[in-house]
Amino acid sequence: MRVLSSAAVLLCLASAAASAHHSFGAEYDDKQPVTVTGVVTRIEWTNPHSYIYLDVKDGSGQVTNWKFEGYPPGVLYRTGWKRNVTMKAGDSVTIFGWRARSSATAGHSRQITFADGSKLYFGPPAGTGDGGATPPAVQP
Amino acid sequence: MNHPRLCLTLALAVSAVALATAQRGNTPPVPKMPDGHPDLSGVYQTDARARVGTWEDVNKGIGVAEPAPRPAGAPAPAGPPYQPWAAKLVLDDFNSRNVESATARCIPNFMLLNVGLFPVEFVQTPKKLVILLEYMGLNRNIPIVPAGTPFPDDTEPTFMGTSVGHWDGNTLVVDTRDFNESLHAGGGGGRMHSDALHVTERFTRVDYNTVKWDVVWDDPKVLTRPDQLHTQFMLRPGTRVREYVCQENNQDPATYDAVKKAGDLHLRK
Repeated sequence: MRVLSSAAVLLCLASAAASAHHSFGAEYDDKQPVTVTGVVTRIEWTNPHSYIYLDVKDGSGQVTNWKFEGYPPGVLYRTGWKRNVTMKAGDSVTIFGWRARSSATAGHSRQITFADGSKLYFGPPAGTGDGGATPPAVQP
Repeated sequence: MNHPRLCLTLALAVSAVALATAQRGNTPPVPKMPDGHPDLSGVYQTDARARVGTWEDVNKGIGVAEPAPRPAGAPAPAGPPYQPWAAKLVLDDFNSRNVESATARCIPNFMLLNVGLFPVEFVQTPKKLVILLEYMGLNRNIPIVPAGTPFPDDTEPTFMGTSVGHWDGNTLVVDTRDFNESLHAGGGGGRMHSDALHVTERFTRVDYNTVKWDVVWDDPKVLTRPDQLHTQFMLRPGTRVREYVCQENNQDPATYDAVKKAGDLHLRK
């Protein structure tokens, strides 16, 4: 049963998982993964996307405020998040995601690592909603 | 065997095993309405995942699964049988990474298949099925009438079309017509279609946890022949359909414009 379910999921997921409000690739570059650590300054818990703002200090001590996009609130609840509880302004976190195409200090989040080492997903995988890596096949 | 048919075969096989498992595990029988018809009511996940359980248990730890890599040498899944002009439009949208997708501007299109990230709730009475979609805060209001009842003649084009349902044995057959044209539907969970789209859905609650969904997607302005879709909705006990007001903080149009002004950085090379 497990093997069969896995096969069904693998074969059908391409058409099933690509649900999102918009195209990842129109705004973000899946060839440019990025990981930053900083202090949360603000969280916009909003539809159609949530946003985390993060002060990130570079090697010279310069602080830059980054912005990361993520899931809408409903999806965050179902992924294990609770508003104003799981993460608050002032928390130190590490964000893994992908860089924006039009900004050097923005990105699309995937996974958040908290100070205690625990992790939660804040955004979907790269490529969601942009059609995947191969052109659409058309039946004759 | 093409992709949808293979998916159907696997889904049927999984459903059969799930049914046998459910029977062994004392899963409740398919609920019935007072009139004897199946009751489809419940909150479901609309994608093809076959696992039984709560939303949190089934999706635990993964958020949304990484797209599965296609095995080396395996053919691309067969797509809809588009007419040449429509195929070109779909390819253009792919190459521009769906930057023209209407849903990025919070404009919905008809969808039910491809919203697996968001739950849907079926609320059924003897004379009506209401489907509440969390994504975009959409709903479908489907009267259940005797088979053969004429389709309403007072409709106008809408994003979700006008639906009427009737029972065929234990299957609810839903006829939906009169849609707005939606030519740039990629990227937002929809399918491109014209205003001639006619959708015939068959909802069958094959066991307590599973509603099978078989669809004929007929669009003579866009397709060379009717297409078929097959998947299943899995019951997700305890899940609530939450509010989704897309206009609340939609920053995508501005970001799309910035990307275009910076030199069309999004285009596939």
